Amino acid sequence: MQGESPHVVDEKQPPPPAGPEPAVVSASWYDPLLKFFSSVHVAVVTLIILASISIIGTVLQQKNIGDVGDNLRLYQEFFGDAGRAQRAFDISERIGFFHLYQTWYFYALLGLLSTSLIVCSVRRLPTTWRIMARPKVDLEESGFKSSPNRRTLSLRLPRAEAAAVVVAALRKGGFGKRESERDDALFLFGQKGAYSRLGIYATHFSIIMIFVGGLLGSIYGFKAYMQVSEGETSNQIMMRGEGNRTATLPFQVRCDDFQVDYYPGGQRPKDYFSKLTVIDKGQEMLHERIEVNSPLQYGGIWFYQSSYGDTGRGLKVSIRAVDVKSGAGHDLSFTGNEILDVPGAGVRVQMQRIFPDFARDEMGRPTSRSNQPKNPVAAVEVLLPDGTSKQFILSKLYPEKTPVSGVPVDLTFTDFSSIQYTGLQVVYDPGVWVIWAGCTLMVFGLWFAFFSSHRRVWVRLREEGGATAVVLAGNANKNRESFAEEFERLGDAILAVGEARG
Amino acid sequence: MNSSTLFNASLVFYLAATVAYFVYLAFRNEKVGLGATLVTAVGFVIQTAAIGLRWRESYDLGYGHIPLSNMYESMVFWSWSIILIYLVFERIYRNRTLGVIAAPLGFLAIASISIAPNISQEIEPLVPALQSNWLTVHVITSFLGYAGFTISFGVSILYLILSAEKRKDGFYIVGMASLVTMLTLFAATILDFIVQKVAGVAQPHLFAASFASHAPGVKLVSWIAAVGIFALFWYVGTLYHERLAALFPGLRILDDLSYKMIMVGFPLLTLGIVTGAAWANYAWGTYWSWDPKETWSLITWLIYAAFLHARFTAGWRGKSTAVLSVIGFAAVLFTYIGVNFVLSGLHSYG
Repeated sequence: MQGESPHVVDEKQPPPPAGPEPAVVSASWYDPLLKFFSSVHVAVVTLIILASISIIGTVLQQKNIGDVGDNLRLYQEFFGDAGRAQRAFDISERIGFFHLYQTWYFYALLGLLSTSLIVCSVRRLPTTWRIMARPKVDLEESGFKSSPNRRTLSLRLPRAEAAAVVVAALRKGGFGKRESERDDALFLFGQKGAYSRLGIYATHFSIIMIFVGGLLGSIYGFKAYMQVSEGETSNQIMMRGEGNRTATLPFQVRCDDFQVDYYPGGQRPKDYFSKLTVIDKGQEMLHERIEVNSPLQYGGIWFYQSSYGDTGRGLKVSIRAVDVKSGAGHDLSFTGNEILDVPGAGVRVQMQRIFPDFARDEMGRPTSRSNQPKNPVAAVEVLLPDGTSKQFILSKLYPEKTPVSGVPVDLTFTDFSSIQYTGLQVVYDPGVWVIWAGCTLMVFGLWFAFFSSHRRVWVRLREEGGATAVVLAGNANKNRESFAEEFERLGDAILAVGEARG
Repeated sequence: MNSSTLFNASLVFYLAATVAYFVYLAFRNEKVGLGATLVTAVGFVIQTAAIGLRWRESYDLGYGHIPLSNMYESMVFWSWSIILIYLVFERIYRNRTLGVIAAPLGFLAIASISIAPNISQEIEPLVPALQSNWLTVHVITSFLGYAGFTISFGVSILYLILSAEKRKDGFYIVGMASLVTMLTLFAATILDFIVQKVAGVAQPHLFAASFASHAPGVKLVSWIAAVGIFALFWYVGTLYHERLAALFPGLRILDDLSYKMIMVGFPLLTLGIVTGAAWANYAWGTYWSWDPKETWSLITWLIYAAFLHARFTAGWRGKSTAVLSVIGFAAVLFTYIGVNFVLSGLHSYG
């Protein structure tokens, strides 16, 4: 350990002594271990090893997020030989390269880092604390001489009055005050921003908190998936990463409605929503509409909108038929290939086929790309009174492209729906609040460690033939340029007030 | 007037600012220095307006989102961040030295993305996962952090080149190699642009007209040219060592500037990672999934954490920390760009 505080930024000038050096602790069996873990070299090497080993997991597909089979193809490309690729693949699998961040050695590295953080902090905190809480007030002459900022003033005032001037200036500058007397001299000491020395400890502690939060989540939490169709209720979830084991929630979730909005053009989903109801012990506890980036929480369990799809069941198509002569309109509602009567017009309409996501194949035949209602088109047949019939194609999104003519009714495709299902990510993670507390602490800790500084001023007042000699010294552990200016201003202020009174 | 006209205008200003900062460096004329700052500031205001205009254009298209959602927009924002961090720094420390690094980097970031093939400059609608206010906070903090690291990297290269006594100095070679790599990458991008836009030959991928060409001859010539440029710079660099060194402030100041920039970048990167985790947790219920982009941002964070410990606690100074800063920036580049092209993951959209 070097210097007065291990994490002081850029402490090049020797600081004034800040109290007696800590006594050397008697040697014991664990001393070499403590020395090892508190070594900054060990910490830096651990960081570099962690960084390097993490790269492997970004190049090779990992079990939880990708297809491990891709790695074999990657090896084949690399080795150009199927046998060697297979061998490399087997070895990689055995040493855990496909779930790198869950291997024992990755955890061991995190453990090494944590131990290093804890040992460093515990060993260094007492010294830092002494600097902050028990500063040496009656600085020696050598301390004044070696200080990076010093100034000597002579005030034509008795010592007590000069001291009052200095104390007032210190207080105005935001410096807390302590005093002490030795060898006919009065010593004053002021400091501010001492807590900035704790920033680095807060940052280190926050990393431990994040590790603890992650452990809590992986031990006591779970991640699962559930699928609920519109109108249905479920409490069955499928656990992730455990061979798709199913489990039962202590309450039920009903999907009241599911909806997708598309961007203009109709292909790219803009938003998707599920209206959910939580039913606990037979009672409806909560109604909420969730979407991506807006989850629902009940009983500590979070539900995230994750996917959706069409069940292909419960098709419902609405066509509006308007009698060309009378102008009377009727809504025809189809659930299959039924034939419906248009009252008063003397014609009947049969639903022939529905294309939820209409397109034409390479032969120009109508087809549906998917079950998603992205571009619904209905093929209908109008049965005329004379026994003949005419076929029409009706588009819901582009009605102007599919005009109906030559029959006594005008047809418009007004509504299309079928039963959708919503896919929900179900998460319980009791560690997440520890994580956020840790992250917040880290950000504040870094702020204090980097951007605030511990500023100290020592003053010695000694009566010298009717006047008082005031010697000022000061230093800051960071941002020295701005402290040098502050120190100058402090001296100027003392001088100005002292001369005005003297 | 549309946003791309304004982006082009800001390019012109940054190019002018680059020249002005170099003139300032050579003659130490305060008026020139003030002019350089003014030109940069005007360019910055124009670029800010361009980003605002692009934001409004996205509303006109019916999408309505802040322009921070794809490669083009983020590159523009990177440039904007570099200039912002630099201007704030110049104001606080009353030091214009870094202008010769910040202005050309700000210029290069927009220029290269404007000409890179396969990079869409269109305003795209956002997929549902990206429609979150976390996007704004996450991208802004991350890129301001990247910008701090970028300037630190520039200063570190300078340090490595200027601190060399001999050509065989390993640190000097690392510095020169970094500089020449940046220059050749830029030249290769321009070559792609010329082949694609002027000669009208479609480019299948980046650097298809040089290093990654299918014609072995072109490939060979490109590599020979790159090595040749390196050899030339490497040789000339020490020949005019004294004159070069006289242009810049002392090595101690460069060392200090480099680490100050990392002190700006590190908390911002931390905030970027934390807000990214918070967002992922809010969108998917997982704050950390070891997706390549996440992992690479952590790798970057670890490297700069090592830098800070090496400097503060182990007392490293000068060349060794400058090398760490160069390595850290390589990780930044890979996190930002490399992951998108080489690896796959959640961030594949930019």
